[in-house]
Amino acid sequence: MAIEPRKYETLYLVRPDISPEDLLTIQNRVEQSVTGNGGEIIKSEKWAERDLAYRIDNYTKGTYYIAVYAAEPKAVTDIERYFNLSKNNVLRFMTVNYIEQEEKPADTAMSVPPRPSEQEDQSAFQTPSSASESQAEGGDEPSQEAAEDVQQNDEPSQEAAEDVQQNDEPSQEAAEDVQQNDEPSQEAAEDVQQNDEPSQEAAEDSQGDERKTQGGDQS
Amino acid sequence: MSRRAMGGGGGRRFYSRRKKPRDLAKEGKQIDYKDTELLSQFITERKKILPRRNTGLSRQEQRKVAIAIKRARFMALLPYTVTHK
Repeated sequence: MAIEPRKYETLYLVRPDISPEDLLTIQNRVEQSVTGNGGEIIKSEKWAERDLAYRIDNYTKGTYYIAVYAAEPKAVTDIERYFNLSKNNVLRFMTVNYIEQEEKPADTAMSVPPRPSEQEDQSAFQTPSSASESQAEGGDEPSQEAAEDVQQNDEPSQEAAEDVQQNDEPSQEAAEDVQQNDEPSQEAAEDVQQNDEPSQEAAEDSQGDERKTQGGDQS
Repeated sequence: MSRRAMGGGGGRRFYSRRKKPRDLAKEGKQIDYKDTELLSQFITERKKILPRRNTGLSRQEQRKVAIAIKRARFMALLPYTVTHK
């Protein structure tokens, strides 16, 4: 049995204002390093264009490119040496061992291409598909897993319900506060009604006060 | 949530406190350093990695998550802290 070369995944961050020619030479150089060392390119594409979490060389944005390949370790050192030499264009790079997206069905269905990681977010869509794939192997396991998932999903909802109850208490307090505040406000309203006649005098007084204060401010 | 509501709630002091264990493998999720949406669930407001007592992950998964967060930080996918810039 021949030893299969390892699969690697290299993610590299390119500065946003790179010229298309430089970008092409970088991508070609990566592919040449792999094929020149007897490897095989599985994927070489743009991954994302996004804001950086922190500034690198005063760049706040960058473009990520991803390359997945099966090759000897020599290819990795070759690529990384090239990246180190082209530091002006390649801001960051990282090579990790490439992990197939779904480990268990990968044995039966090797021809299935690995799913892009962007689909991982949609767990609701993925769980039925994985269940259907493992049903092909035969077994009651997927249905049990699905049932467990449902149970797990129930529990947070209970928590949410508890949270709602907890939130209710302060809101009731707030409501009581409002009621308590209502009473003095009624009293205040009564006071206003009682003080209707003197209030005109008070208003006149207040006007006088305003003039005084304005004068005070000017001086 | 106001201070008062937290006091009235009785013991829920941390926003990130998690009592229930969480199994990412069972949720059908691979731990990948490029998946910032998933990883950001396991860091605090100040971008520190949450301890296992709060994430509810298994020892193995916590380790994978921590490594993935550190990789994502290096690639500027996640910040190291809120103050640098």
